Amino acid sequence: MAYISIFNDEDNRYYRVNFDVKNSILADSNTSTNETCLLITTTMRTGLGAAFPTFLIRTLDDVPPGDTPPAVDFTDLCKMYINYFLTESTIGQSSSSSTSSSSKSVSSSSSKSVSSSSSGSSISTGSSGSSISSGSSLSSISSEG
Amino acid sequence: MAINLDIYSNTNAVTRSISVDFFADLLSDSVTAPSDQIVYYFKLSTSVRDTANLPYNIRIAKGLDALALNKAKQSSVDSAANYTSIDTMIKDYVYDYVYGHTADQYSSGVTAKAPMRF
Repeated sequence: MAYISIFNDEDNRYYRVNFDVKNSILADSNTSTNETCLLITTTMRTGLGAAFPTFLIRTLDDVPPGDTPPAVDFTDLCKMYINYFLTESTIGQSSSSSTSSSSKSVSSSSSKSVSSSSSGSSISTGSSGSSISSGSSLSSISSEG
Repeated sequence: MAINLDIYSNTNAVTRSISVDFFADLLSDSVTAPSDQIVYYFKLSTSVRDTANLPYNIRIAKGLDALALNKAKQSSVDSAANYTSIDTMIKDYVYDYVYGHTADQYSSGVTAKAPMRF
């Protein structure tokens, strides 16, 4: 599972966007066979304080509401959802914040910890909950086998 | 959390497993791009060996255009079309694991790989 952590210094909290693989019979499918899909969830809340729904991704056409399909690849798709959550959440709608604010930091995690930063924000990615560090230098890079 | 796709061989009464997970990383082939370009991708791996007793390389799919045979052709059919869904992509990769492929199968330029050993 991959996840991205987003720190909001306005409330001193971390929020997560999770990208998880699921293999199951899907209740809304016309078949009774297992399907592999991606589930996207977040701990962020909407502007009204409600939880975001879980988004089930079957194809690159399954982009967030308001975005134009298809996504180019999985990276493009995931970025669309991160931007969607940030825009529609209480973080994005707080009076003193903006999605481009340097008070926001975005991180995701993988089996190797990677970090990059700009304007005081920190970005790291991961998939196994490894430690996240902030800074301007890359800490590690995973190799494609 | 990774999923494990089990493949059962009735002939040999054994089960083999392929692990599928989703990651967000810098990949070594993307570092020439902007250094903070995190890539989201599916990774397939297995500890099983093929009938030639050789291991399988890690397989990475960054998009639905990551076709199983050298990124050029699907494995189960002679097609250069992108996969229509994540599910069809995973199933085609699993097919390729189980049945292997010949050298340059479907003119894909792929090297030969023996079928999975059960």
